[in-house]
Amino acid sequence: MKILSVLLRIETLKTVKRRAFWVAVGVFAAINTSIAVDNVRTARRFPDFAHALPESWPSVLSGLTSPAGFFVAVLIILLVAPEFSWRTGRQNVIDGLSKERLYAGKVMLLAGLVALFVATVLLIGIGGILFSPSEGGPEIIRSTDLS
Amino acid sequence: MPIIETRELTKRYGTRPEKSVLAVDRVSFAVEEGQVFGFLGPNGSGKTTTIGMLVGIINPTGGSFRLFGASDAKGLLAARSRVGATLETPNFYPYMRGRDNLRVAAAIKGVGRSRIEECLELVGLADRAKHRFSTYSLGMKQRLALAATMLSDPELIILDEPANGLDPQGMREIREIIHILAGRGKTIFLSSHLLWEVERTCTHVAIVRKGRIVAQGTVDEVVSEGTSALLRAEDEDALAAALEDCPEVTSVRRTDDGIIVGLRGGDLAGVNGYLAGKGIHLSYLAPHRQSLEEVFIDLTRGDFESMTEIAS
Ligand SMILES: Nc1ncnc2c1ncn2[C@@H]1O[C@H](COP(=O)(O)OP(=O)(O)OP(=O)(O)O)[C@@H](O)[C@H]1O
Ligand SMILES: [Mg+2]
Repeated sequence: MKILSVLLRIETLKTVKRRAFWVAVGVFAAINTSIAVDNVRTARRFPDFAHALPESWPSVLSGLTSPAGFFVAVLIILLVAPEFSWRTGRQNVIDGLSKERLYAGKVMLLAGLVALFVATVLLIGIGGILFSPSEGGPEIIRSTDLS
Repeated sequence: MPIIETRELTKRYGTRPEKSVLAVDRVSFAVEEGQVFGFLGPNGSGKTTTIGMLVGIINPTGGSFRLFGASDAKGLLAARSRVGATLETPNFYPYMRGRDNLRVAAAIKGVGRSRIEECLELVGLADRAKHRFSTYSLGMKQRLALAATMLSDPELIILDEPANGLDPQGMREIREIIHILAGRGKTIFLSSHLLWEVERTCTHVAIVRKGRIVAQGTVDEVVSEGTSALLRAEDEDALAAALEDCPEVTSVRRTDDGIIVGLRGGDLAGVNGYLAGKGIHLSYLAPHRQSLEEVFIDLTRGDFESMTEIAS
């Protein structure tokens, strides 16, 4: 069990200082936000049954899954390729990390990021359902904000 | 028990006979505890390949080796935790600070933080550790690599051309660090193509050429294998002719200064007696100690000739 947390820590150390990683995260967040905002806008503009909030929060947010797959692919390339070009993967192995453990660490980091993303979307969804403007709850998103 | 022991270790790259390269050819040597062992050879002679096999990232195609007495996969895995090693250029994450790079290596080796600072201190990088690796000079990169190998306080340190590309000052710094480590009882195996570096740093040396070891022993032994003498006489033609037949003599070279002969056993008296028996009386006879450089050039001459051919 301890080894798993060590592997995750090694990959986290490598990744948090990486500008390319944060740029990718930023782009992904921006794309997701714009998709979500767009979907909410559509829902507000056509408040018929198919689009009505809060019932349609799940469909608003399910639009985020397709960029998520692409993002995972980008991350895999981002995490793996430089270990070859910088020969750092080879050095990791010389330092005593087996190849299997090196990749296990990367898989764990990816899984962690996916979990973080799912949790964020779920929280927004739950928050949206609880506090949806059309439900008479506190208006956190007003139609004027979105148009 | 030797710390490193290789037996007929061989590596052939590629399987198709007409295209394959025999990079390491039946190399046997032993490194004992506390030695600073220099693996000396020109470019392409198989130094990196040999080290790559020792650290477990290149599979040998023949022969065997032991680290700390272990030769099976499980034993080697354990033995390698007692080794710190670099291969070719320093390999680090360019976007990370020097210190953070060491944190990654320390996490892999299971080493605590205080050790990172100690190692940075020892290689003189403590005040630059907060800068990104990509901003380092080559000398600093080499020193960071040295720091990384020392993190786990290993008993054996393997360095592939640790002073490659450094200026004389940078080389001296590396040499001083190696001396400090040797003084702490570490066994050090280093490769180099710079003989004077090896001559000053190492206690033992193996000279390798085209994958074969052509000489090995203590630095003194290897140098004295090439012991030669400077001779002068009234009649140098007669002297040269007599020397050609002398069993002690391996080579005869005439210079303005006299005749330089290579000696098999380093036995000057024997040569003198032999010549006296032929009726030749020397006006001058003195040992001529070759530098390791001359030995190296002698042993690897073929390579340098082919290199100049390519260059011209
Ligand atoms: N991956 C490889 N595939 C095929 N041939 C290789 C490979 N790596 C090395 N070689 C060949 O093996 C030989 C020995 O190379 P090696 O890198 O071990 O030499 P070296 O002594 O470290 O040289 P240098 O001083 O230039 O670092 C060379 O002829 C080289 O071309
Ligand atoms: Mg090399």
